[in-house]
Amino acid sequence: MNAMTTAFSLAYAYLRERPLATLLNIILLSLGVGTIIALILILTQAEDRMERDVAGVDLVIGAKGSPLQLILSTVFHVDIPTGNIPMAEAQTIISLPQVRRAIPLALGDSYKTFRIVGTEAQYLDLYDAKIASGKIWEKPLEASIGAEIAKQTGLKIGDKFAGAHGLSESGETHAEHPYQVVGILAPTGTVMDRLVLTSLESIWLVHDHEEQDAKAENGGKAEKTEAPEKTGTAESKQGKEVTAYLIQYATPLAAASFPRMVNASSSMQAAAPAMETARLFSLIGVGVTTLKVFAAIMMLCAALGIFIGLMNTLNDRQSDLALLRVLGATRGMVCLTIVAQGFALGLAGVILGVLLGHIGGEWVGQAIAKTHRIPLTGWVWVGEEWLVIGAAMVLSVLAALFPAWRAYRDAVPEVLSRA
Amino acid sequence: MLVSITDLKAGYGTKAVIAFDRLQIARGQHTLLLGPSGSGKTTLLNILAALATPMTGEIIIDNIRVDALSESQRDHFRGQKIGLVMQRLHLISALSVCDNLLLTQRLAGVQANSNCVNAILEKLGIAHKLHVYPHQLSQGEAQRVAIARAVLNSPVMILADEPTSALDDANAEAAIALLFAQAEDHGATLVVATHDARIKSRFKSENIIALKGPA
Repeated sequence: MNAMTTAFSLAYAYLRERPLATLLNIILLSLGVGTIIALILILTQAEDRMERDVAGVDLVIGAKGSPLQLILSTVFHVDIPTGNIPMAEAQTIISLPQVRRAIPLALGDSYKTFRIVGTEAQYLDLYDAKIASGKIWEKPLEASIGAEIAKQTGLKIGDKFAGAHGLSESGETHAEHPYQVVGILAPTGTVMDRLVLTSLESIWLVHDHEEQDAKAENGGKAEKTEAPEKTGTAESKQGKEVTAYLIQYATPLAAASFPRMVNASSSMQAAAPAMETARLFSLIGVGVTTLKVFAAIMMLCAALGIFIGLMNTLNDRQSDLALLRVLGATRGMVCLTIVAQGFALGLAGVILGVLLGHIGGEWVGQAIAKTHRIPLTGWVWVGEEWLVIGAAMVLSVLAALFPAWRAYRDAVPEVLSRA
Repeated sequence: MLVSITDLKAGYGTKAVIAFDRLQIARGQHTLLLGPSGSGKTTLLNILAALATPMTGEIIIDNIRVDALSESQRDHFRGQKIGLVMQRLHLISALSVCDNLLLTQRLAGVQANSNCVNAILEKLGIAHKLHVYPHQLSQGEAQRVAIARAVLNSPVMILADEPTSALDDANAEAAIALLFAQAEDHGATLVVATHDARIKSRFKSENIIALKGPA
């Protein structure tokens, strides 16, 4: 133990003697470690988040288009819907025995970029969402809002607000049909925290009215010149329409044939969230892998820097190390002071790197939270980080082993005769 | 006897530089190893310091069979029993004077004691250099610190390799005087290896070993 303290205090003195080289090694290592950790933090949370948001949804049935878009818009609420489907046609499919539960969603409006979702009370069950205060929406134009919305907008029970058409803040408002907040949901840690929930009827009511207004203003042309965003609105022209149904299977076996049957025999499309998120991650994966490889190369460079630094100082310090032997240090002790330098550099780089990674993760998380309303943070600890820390420490110590062996080998009388 | 050497042959590789049938140094018998460079002074000093092992021979120092010790045992032996002063290489460059001396105690397995360190530096008149780094010291000051370090752990023997060769007359005299004083003070036996004839007069003539090196 005593030898350890001595070795480390010597290592510290040696590193302090060359502050610039030491700083460079630490910075290089911490950048590598930090990049990987920031990536791990963001990805782990995003994956975790998506997994929770998918909840028990086995399949989504919606309008034809990109299946990924369908999932992104109806499950994660981050994209524009693919369009609407007639309830009557959907009814024949969701009443099949393979379907245990089907939750209708009507999308298209938003309030301060938070999406307004027309649905049924069973949507809450999907995320085990509970009412924190007030009640669940009942009558048209009553709304229950997610915890995050209450926090960010300050809406309280009894407050009225108008939805805006489309999903951006610039959409025209439906001022003539204001919603009233009747309930606030308890936080769930899912997408539900950021949704305004109301009944399907509310959505139909708001848009029936608008449809008539539009027709009155523009005559028959309105239908043909609809803005693309408008296709995402649930309307009730020929029978009621919804944007999508979230489906839970009655039996896992349904996954084999049910989606294909829907896609082949109806004007609608079926998409499985699990498959689409896997596809999404494989798309992002290329970029992530590149970044990870880049960070790993940085870590290797740092280890190389430690190696070269120690080899360089070895020549300058040969007589110093011989002096240590003169004072009674064993070969092992001399060796240990050099390995200790690698270890100390590694430790400093890792500590700084972990700090940078978390700060960077928080920074990226904030940016994503702002633009996509997905709350990600750097202030969490992920088990995988230990792996990165371990790898960085092993690399640093490995880099010191050869220089340490070289110092170990030196014969003291020869070094002294040259000094 | 402090040192008792018999049938010694030592050198580099297979080439013997020095050979003694018998060499003895009594406690308190300050000894001078005098000879030109290449005569084997340093080789003998390395043997006495247990830094090198002889090709043949038996070496007993302070009742310990040094040639029979393992390498790490020799390191411990050296740390505890021998104080070394060299010509130029005095201090660990990365450590302050104080830390150099504290390190010497720790490497010898002695409890680091800054009071001891202060006392010795005080006595050698360099206490004000306590927190100074080696590169800020003059050659003479660095040597004083090296002498302080050599006596710090109260060794049985102080070995000095060319302690005066780099110094002018006045400083050489001061250095050798300091070595003698410190050796007496700590009850250590001084062995000086040098080609510097100026300091001959300091030693009793029977304590001067003239080395000529290999024939």
